[in-house]
Amino acid sequence: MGLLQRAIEWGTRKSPWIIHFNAGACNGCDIETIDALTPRFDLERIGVLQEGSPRHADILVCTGAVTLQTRDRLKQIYDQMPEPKYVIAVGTCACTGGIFDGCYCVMGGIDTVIPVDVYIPGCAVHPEAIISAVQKLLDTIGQRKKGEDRHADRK
Amino acid sequence: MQTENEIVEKLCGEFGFLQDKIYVQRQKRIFTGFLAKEEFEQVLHYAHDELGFYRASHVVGTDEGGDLGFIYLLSNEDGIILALKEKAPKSDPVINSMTDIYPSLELHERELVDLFGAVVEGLPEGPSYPLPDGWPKGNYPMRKDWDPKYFDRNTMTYNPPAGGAGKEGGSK
Repeated sequence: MGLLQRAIEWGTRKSPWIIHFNAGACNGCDIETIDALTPRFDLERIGVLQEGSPRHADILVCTGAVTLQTRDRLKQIYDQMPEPKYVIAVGTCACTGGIFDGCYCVMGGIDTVIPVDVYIPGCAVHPEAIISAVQKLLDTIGQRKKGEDRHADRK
Repeated sequence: MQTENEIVEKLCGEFGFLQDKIYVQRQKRIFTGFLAKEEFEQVLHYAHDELGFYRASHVVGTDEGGDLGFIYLLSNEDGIILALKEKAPKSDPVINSMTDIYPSLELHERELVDLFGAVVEGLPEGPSYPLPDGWPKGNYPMRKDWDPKYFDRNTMTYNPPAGGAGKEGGSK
């Protein structure tokens, strides 16, 4: 592994920038995500910063089941993020579609559209669960095999 | 303040056909049975002009088998809700728009158009709402014979099996 790659991974591990995307959630998980980021639970303790643009973000935090209207936008945002990029599915709806699964305008969970690294079940999730998931994700950074194709099962 | 029974009496006094169709379901709720189109409009105008039902809170669409049902929920300043119902056959689901007296009903009536396939005459031109872009024409997801498990979300096509769809029920 090159020195630059190692430096990028070190930086991501120490201070991941996240972007939050609502793919069709009821806003319950959004409130909990904001709660996790703000001083009461304070994800910033482990270096997490919320970023406004997907082009600067390392981690995409997705809430809600994917609807037909947000499907292409979610793909677009994911494609805009620079490698290495990671995705966290926050909430039962983001994991499987939840109670909205099978609805006429719902695709299902986030993983029907983009690959997901961490799933956090719960309706709504606890902020503690989000912190735990981010910590677990950061622990795995750097373990991804070189040349691994995360889209292999989607082609 | 008018009580529920006073409102029912006034309506019955004005419209003879309401006599056995209107009832007080519980406190602050007045329901009617299904009315014909002209009767429905007369009662709605009367409720708005004379009885102080200035606000339309909701419109509900229902699938009544061969017909589509429409429930207009009007409320007055005392919080009493008057539920007026009308019916139109699925073969010719034409109703008149009530946006001339209740402008806020525009979005509700657009939902009837998109989700139930109702034809609302007098509704202003506008974008489709609330179905997503590229939704196939002629698919009305809130009708009971439309089953989401036969809808292919990637190609946006509805492919029911031959010999009647949606008998088994359930989703996906």
